[in-house]
Parts: sequence; structure tokens; C-alpha cells
Amino acid sequence: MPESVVVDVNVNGVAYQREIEPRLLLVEFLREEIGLTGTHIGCDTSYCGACTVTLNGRLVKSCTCLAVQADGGEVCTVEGLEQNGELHPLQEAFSEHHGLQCGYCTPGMLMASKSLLEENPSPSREEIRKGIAGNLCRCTGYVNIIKAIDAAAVKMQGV
Amino acid sequence: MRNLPAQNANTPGQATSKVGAELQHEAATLHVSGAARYIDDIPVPASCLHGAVGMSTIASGRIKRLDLSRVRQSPGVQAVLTLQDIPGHRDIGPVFPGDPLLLDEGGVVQFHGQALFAVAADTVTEARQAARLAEVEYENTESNLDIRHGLQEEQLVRPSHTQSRGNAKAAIEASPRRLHGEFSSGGQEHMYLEGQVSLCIPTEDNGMMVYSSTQHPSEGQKLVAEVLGIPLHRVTVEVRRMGGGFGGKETHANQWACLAALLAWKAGCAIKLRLGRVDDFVGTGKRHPFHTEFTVGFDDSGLIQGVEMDLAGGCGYSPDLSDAIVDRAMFHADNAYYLPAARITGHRVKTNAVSNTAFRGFGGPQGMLATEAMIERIARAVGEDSLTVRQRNFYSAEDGRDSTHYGQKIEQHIIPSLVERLVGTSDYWGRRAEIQEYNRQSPVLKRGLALTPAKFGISFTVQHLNQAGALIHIYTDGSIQLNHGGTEMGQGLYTKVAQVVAHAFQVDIERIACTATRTDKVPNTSPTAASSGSDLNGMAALDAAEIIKKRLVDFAGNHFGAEPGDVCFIDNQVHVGQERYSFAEFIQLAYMNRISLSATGYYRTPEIHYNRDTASGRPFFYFANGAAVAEVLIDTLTGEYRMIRADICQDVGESLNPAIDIGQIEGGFIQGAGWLTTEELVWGEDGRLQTNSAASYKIPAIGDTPGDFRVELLPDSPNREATIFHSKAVGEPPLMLGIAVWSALGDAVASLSDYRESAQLNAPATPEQVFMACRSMRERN
Amino acid sequence: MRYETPETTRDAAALLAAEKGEAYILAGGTDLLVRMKAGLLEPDLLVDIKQVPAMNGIQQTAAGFRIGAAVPAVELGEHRALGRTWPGVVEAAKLIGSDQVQGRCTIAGNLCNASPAADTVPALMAAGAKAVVVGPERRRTVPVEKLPRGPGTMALAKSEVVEAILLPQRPAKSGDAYLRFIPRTEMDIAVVGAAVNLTLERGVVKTARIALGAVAPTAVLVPRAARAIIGTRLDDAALEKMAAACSAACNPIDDKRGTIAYRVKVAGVLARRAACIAYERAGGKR
Repeated sequence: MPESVVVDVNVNGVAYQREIEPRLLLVEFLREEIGLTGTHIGCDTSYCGACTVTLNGRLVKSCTCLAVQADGGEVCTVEGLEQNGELHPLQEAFSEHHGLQCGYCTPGMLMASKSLLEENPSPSREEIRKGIAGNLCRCTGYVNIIKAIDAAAVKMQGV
Repeated sequence: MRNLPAQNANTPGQATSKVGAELQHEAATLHVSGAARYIDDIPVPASCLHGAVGMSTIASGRIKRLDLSRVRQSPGVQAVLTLQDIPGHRDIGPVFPGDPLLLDEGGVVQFHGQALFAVAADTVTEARQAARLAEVEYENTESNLDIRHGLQEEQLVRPSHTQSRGNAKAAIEASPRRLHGEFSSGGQEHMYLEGQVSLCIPTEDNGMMVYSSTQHPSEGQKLVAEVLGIPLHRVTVEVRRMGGGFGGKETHANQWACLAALLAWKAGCAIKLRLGRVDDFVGTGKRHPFHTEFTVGFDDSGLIQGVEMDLAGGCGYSPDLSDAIVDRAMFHADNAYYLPAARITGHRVKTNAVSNTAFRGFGGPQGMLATEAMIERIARAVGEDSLTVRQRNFYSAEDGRDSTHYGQKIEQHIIPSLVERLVGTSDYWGRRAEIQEYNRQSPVLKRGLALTPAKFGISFTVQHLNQAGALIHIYTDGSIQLNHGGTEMGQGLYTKVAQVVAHAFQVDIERIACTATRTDKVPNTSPTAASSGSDLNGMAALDAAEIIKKRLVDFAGNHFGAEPGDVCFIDNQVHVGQERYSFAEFIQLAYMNRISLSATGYYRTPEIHYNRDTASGRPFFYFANGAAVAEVLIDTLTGEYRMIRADICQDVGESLNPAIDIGQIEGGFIQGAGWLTTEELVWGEDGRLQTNSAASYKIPAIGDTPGDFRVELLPDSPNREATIFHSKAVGEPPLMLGIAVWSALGDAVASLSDYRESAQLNAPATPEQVFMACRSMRERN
Repeated sequence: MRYETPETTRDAAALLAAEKGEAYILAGGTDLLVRMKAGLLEPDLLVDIKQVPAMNGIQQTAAGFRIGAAVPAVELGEHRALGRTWPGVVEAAKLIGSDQVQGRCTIAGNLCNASPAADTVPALMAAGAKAVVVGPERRRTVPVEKLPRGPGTMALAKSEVVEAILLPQRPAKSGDAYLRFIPRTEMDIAVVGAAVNLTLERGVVKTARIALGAVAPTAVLVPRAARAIIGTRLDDAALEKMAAACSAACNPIDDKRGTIAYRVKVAGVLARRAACIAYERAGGKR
């Protein structure tokens, strides 16, 4: 039998303790152990970015991070963006500006965009392009994603 | 029911959710909050096991021994499925036989990655680990992955087919100038971000509930029933949404649904089978690579006199949909150009690769691309800008230059004026001059510019698929549930069809819920493919809405003595003469008076036909037209390039939802550009796909897209045919606009010869190919 | 599979030494986990080094910089002094994967994977970097170029762990640069990589080191290319000679990423461009 380890991970502000196999990936932990299926498995190889979450404030691709590596850490997923029943301005902007088609890349795109705007609240279009360079979208051609991030940045600056 | 629901204080207000409004995607809020459920997100029954597939490790040969004992003993394994276990059909060929579901000892392997057996285990990891443990001995036979070689050896999955008009050979010989050329284009992996997945749950009556990420639930239902040996009515297939399809889930979702269903049947519990990405790459079909040879005769102005073209599609090991795909390549070998005399032959070549399948454009892009490559060469030969040569060859109403080589008359000449418009808005000629000047000054970096048109035929070329069904229920609170046979893969179909229904009843979109596509709601559906989703399902839904509306109008007549003309649906209300009822109020009244509030709708496309024996007819209800201008910058010493700017004008008729249409255009263009630039599939000599993950197969990332990207919908261009609110299909056509990027790369390379010579550039024009083309151009000049 | 989090480098080495099965060091895991998922390796033991203080942090010392083996690539970009002194090394680190990957991956991991295409390895070689290697018994400092032996193999004993990467201090009028060629604009693996590190004296190249990636079984130093520019002001003839030496040093394979002919040709072009950037960074004017 494989050995198991106990991990404590704070996800979206909620503390979880689980006994898991060490080879469990962070994305599997999120989806299977605590039932947060908004983080998607896309390419399995850290290229597509659909599984992007933040771990201790830094973006990671949760398909290439073990759950044990998040032990004692704080994870934020797409489900954590909504606050007090209100969508995050990025979530609103992705809806309004058609920044999604099939929606599979959307949670990862949102997490990368959020991280970008935290570092750089009013990015240029070129900076937006750099900010989400680690996330692939097969549907939109990225145009509306850039528009959405731009619109959210403007809105957040205005508040 | 005894009590009717309380009506919300009804705010009549103007219904804004009509056709033509830029409504957001119907599930946008679910998507951005992470709540949208894909198959892998559906809560599974407690006993659910996970499936994995064992695949062949050679491309061609016979299985001498297949020993699965280590697989069975692997930790967590609960069931192993072999060919012998299958109670029903063992071949799942969608049109023609040739796709064995699994292989056993004595079986013949025809490609590297062919499914041999399947396994169910407690976890995904255990299932996948077990699937790697089979001991297989093969007797290798020679394999072939080369289209030309296959054609020479007459290895075909289906017979060749020819369309001809006039005596092409004689016309070419009589032409002042002639060109013979070859061109090849590579395949393309769909790389939908959600991979192939299905979840099967056995039902109490020995049936199967199948959740499958599929563009064709009805075919999935049929095949699952057949492999289980049960009637179709015992199997239900449901799909709420896909994380991308692009054609890759039209027939290639079937195998995994069938295997999951068989494992579920054998293990007696729910099974989820999600392919790992590498297995998805090697085990599912792709866009057909093509090799084309052509001979063309033309005059000194570049006007085509006659063409002979042999289009050979690499089909992989089985027919799948290749007959129709190669046909569509032939139907688009004219693109937007009049071919006075033509002989177009399509070959379906068998190769030892996974069976290639539908991919956005369905062969059309390959046919068009070959012709555009030909036009480029003609233009260099006569020393004209390729745009000028293109324009000279457009179909036109004059001199009878208005029928295709398969006899369909072009009734509306949209391309010439659309291109003229785009030439203006993109400042094509101004930039052409500027770029030539830049290239004279810049020895290493070169810019390229090209405009290419795309005329794409809309309808399934298999006539019977051009039908659709829909189901509408109105409940007693005035809310409307809509269901239809089309599937949602991100293209916004559910949104558009809901808009159609909202428009029909003149109510807000919030009143309408579009439910998951299910074979028990709307049966015998066609795949969501051929750009037909809104055309077919929108019309079927409108039919259902009109049926209910007629009942309501008749009811008003009987109940109030109103004339039909006195009843109108407007702004969330029903007006009967001077009386005004809220929609819900009126629906309750109808219910109390025993009016049926549920209806199915149906539609079949009129007028279309194609006779394969005479290779002529009217296969397409209409054409969708567009054009793109692309500008690129290449580094002639490394082959690296950037797309600098793209300008597009696309004819979508009266758009049902302009925002969705523009999204389709932007995404389609980039996907087409990806096919022709960085998306390269590489096979090893052993027939193994080497570019088998997102790490080695490169779909466009954001930096690969143009910084300056301008898209316009052609204004004031309603579809003349009676399509749904005179809109036009938009799913596939923009993909072919990506050809402009390939042409622009060739144009930049051609600058090294001062535009006297055509670049020797096949597709995909990877940086390495561009580098090699630059090098050979420099050596010759 | 067992998972251990030692708190000293020596303990990490002892765990590796004691393991009878397959043991791997887990730093960022961005490469290891992909290979595990693909079934290419099945570790019996993973030794996570993130808890080892000596492997964390970037220290600036009189001798230069000490970069802990567990330091994610992103921290290199955030370290101002490092970025000023070794811009080429930092730009190579910032090319690995994407932001998400750089938050996890390490340059020591990049080195220890022994991929010929690793981006930071040519830059480290050109910089004259050394690795601090710790075993259960002894500790040694090894020039980076002595470590990779071939694709996937390192000149390390089973129980040896890289604890840190050392970058030397350098005189004023120095510069380094790394360029790579990839088919896509981002998130890709080098088809060819070229790193150049040089020091000037009155505009003349006094010392130089040039290394190439993805053109041989390991990243390689090309002393002949360096000699071609030493003593010059990087004139065209010197660059031509250097590019030719780079192309001659290539011993690549044909694979899905690029053909031999292409890699050989582009290696020279990239080295030439990297040299010009390094020269400019050193304050030279061509």
C-alpha cells in the first residue's frame, strides 16, 4: 500500500485537512478531495493553464504540483473569486465582453488575470498579453479575453 | 396541478433579448464562477470506477500474443474488457465499417495507438498504470504514412471521385501559359481543452445512461446500443456542453463512450473514462493532411482557362468520414474563382495513422488552400500582385462566369464587393507600397502582405443530415424550457437558439432555459457540424414556437372571440385587441382552458441535392463569404515570424448575435492560422506520433496572435435564402481566412526575389520551413 | 511512494543513499511530475527540498551570488542585484515555461534534468557558474559544464544533491545574454539556445565564454567561438568567425522540434546576436 500523509491546506479561506497519497496532484486534491471542480484538467503537462490556481499568492499550474507541496499553504481557486455573492469585476468582464466560448480555459484565465491585476492594476495591452502568456485558449483567438481584462482593470481602478 | 404558481409582478418592459442583440453566452456566469459542469465535473455514484485504454505500440502488424495477466493483477483493477467480451457489434465505423472497437490475438493493428483492450480500476492513476502493463507480441508488417506512396500503391479507403466540366486538358493545352505544381498541407490536432471523456451509468432495465462529450449524441446512442446488443430506446446520451469540439468529437467521441458503456456493463457499476492527453493525441483522428497536384492553364493576365487537380487526402487507416471530407475539399477547389474548364479528382488514401476525421472546415480548407497556392504561383508567373489575379478570377454575373465546376449556380456575388470593401478598410494598396519600400531597406527582416477570400458552402453534403428537431415546453409560471438536437461546444448555439425563441414569443431571454442535449428529448438528431447548428436547430425551435403560438392565437379566438390579427405577442405581454395580459397570465389562462403548451418542432433544408454519379447538383443551400488581409514580419536568418496585423470582413447575413459571430471569426481565424503556421504533427518512422502533447504540438498562444486585429461583419447583407432570420452560418468559414497568414508569409519570402518567384512553402509554414524557403530563395537569386 | 521533507541537505543526501528503489529530488516538480504522470518513471521515494534552509534564498556574497537549489525561477527575476549583474542568466530563467511554471521551477532542477534544451544551462555555463554538490560524506563545488553527461544523465552519485548554484562576482564592463529560438512565441522548449558572457577593456573583448543549448547531447561550451571574439571589438569578421565556430560545434539530432541543418545554421545566427547584446550590456559600442 502506498504511504499516506496528512496535509493541511487552506482553500479560498477554508481550512481543509485530508489524509492523502503523496502522489496526489493539487488539481486532484481540489477536484476530488474537496469537490471544487471549477479548476479544470486540460493538457496534463503544464502547458494549457486551465488548472491555474494561486498557491501562497503565486500562480501555479495545479496539474504539476503535488498536494503535499501545498501543505500548510493557501490556495485560491476560481470558486474563491466571488465575494459575498458578488462576482469579481474580472468575472463580470469576462461574461460581458465575451471573453469565453467553451469556457474550459476560463477559470485559469481568470486566476492569471487576477494575479496580473494585483501586480499591475492598469496594464497596457502588451502587458496583458504577457500576463496571460501561460494560458492557452482554443476558441476565442484571445481578443475578447484581452478586452475583458482591460475593462475589468478600468472598472477596478474606478472603484 | 391544483394550484398555479404565483405570478411575479410582471414588468411588461421592452423585451430586449431579441434576435440581433449582443447577448452574452447563456452560461457565461456559470463559466466565470467555475460552476459550469463538464462531464468530468458531474458528481459520480459512489461505486464509480475509472477506465483506461491499452493501445498498440506498433503501426502495422498482427497481434501474436496478448497477455493481460499483469493488467488484471495490477493494484485497484476491477475489470478488464477485451474484444471477446463485447456482446454486440465490434465495429463502430460511423458510415462504413472499418473501425474495430478493440483488437485481440490474431487481430491486425493498423496504426500506432490503436485500442487493444480497456481496463477499469478504483482510481484514474491505477487504471492508466494498469493499461500500460499488457504483454503484447506483434508480427510487424510494413507500414506507410506517406500519402503519395499510398496513392501510387492505390491504397484507398474509398474509391476516388471526379467532378468535371468541359475538357480541362484541352483548355489547358490551348492556354497561353501553363503551370504544373504540387502542394502539401499537414494535418491538425483539435486540441479541444476538454479532452475526450464519458461517464456511463447502468440503468435498472439493462440500459445505459451515457454522459459523453460529443457533437453527435444520437450516433453515440446508436453505437452504444449496438455494442451492448440492446435497442436504442434503452440508451440515453446527454451532453450539456463540451470544452471545445471543432469536429474532433463528431465521430471520435464514440469509441470512448462505447468502451465506458461496455466496462460499466461488465463491472456492473458507473464508469468514467477520461483519456489522458497523450492518449487523446495518439488515439483520436485529426484534420486530413493533403497532397495536391495541379496543372493550370491561364492567360497573360492570370485568368484561369482550365485546371486539372488531384486532391489526395491522407485518411488514416479507415473510412470514418473521409468520403464526405474529400468531397468537400473538391467542392472547394474553386474557392471564389470561376474555373471555365476543370477536372477535380479526390482520392481517399489509406495510411497507417489514426483515422482522420472532421475538423472545422471538413476538407474545405484543404481544397481552398491548394487553389490559393496555385493562384499565388500564377500571380508570380504573370508578375502581378496576387490580389489582382484573385480579383480577375472571381465568379461574376457577367459572361456566364457564375457556375461552379459541380454545376451549382452562384446566385449572389458577394465576394467581389466584400473584397473591394476590405481593400479599402485595410488600406491594402497603401500598405503594399510601404511594405515594398521597407523590404528594400531591410536586409534581414521582411514584411509580407496578402488578401485571401473564402467562399464556403453551407449544408451537409450528405443530404439526410440536413434535418433537425426541437422541443419547447411552456410552464404555468410562463417560463419556457427549450431543447434541441444541437450541442453546445462554446460556439454559442444555445444562446442563439434561445434568442430565436425569445424573439418568437417576444419575451426576455431570462424566461428561457436551454437544457442539456439529450437523445430522449429530441431523437434522431444530426451531428452539430457543418456550421449548421443555428441554421437547423434555430429553424426547428422556431417551428415549435410557432406551433405553440398558433394554439395560443386559436385559443384567444375561441375564448375571446378575437380575430387572429388581433392577437399579438409583444414586450413580455400578449395583447388581445385592447386587452393586455402578462405572458404568464395568458399562459395560465391557456392552461386552465386545456391548451397544450408543449410542442416539438422540425426542419429540413429545402432545395439541396447532389448526384454523385453525375457529380453535379446544388449541394449547398447558400454560401458564406469572407476575406482577410494578413501582414507578417519574418526574420530571414532564423525563420521566426510575427503576425502584425489582420483585417477581416465576413458575411454573416443578418447576424443572430453579432458579438458571438465576431468571437467565432476571431477564434476561427487564429485556429486556421495555427494550422498553417506552428501546428505541426510529426510522426516517427515507427508510425508513432511524436508531437503527442501540448508541449510539442503548438497551438497559438496569445503572443502568436496579431497585436492589431480588426474584424467587421459585412453590413446590410441579409441571406437571400429563407434561413433563420436571414442569418448565415459562421462556425467554419472564418477558419479558412487563416490562409491569408500563410500567403503573407510566402509574400515576405518572395520579397527576396523581388517578387519574381513564388516561395516554396508548404503548410504548415513553421519557422523552420520559412527559414528553408528563404535560404532556397536566396540561393536562386 | 514515500514522501520526505528533510531539513538539511545532508539529510536529503542520506535519504537518497538509504533508498533501495528509485528516489528523486523534488524541487519545483514541474518536470518530474509530468514524467511521473506519463508513466516514464515511478519513484519509490520523493525527497522534497523546500524545507531545507540552505537551499532557499539568494545570497549576495563577496564572491558573487549563491542561489539555493529550491529557489523558484521567479525569484531570480525579482532579485535586483542579480538582474543587474547577470541579466543573461535571469532572462534565461524567465524563459522557462510560463509565469505559472516559473513560480515553481528552479534553475538547479533545470540543470539536474540534464535536458540538452534547458534554457538556463547554457547561460550558467557561459557565466562560469558552479554547483555546490552535497553527498552524505562530502561536499564539492563543480563547474556547471562538468555536470550534464548526456540527455537525462548527470555526473552525480546517486546520493548527491545540488544544494546551490554559485555565480561569480564580475568586473565592470561585463555583460551576458541568452537567446533561444522557439517556434512559438512563448511556452516552448528551445530548438537552439545561445549564451554569451564577456568582459571588455576599452571596448575590446578581454574574456568571453560562449555556450550553446539543444544542439548536442548536452549544453556545450564553445571555447573556439569565444577565442574568435577575444581581442576584437566584435567586428563583422570576428562575429562571422564566432558564428562559424558555433555552427561547427553543433552535434544535434533531427527531431520533432527541428532538423540538424536548421539547428546548425541558426546556432550561429543566435550566438552572433547574443554576443552583440552582451557587448552592448558591457558598455561596448559597435
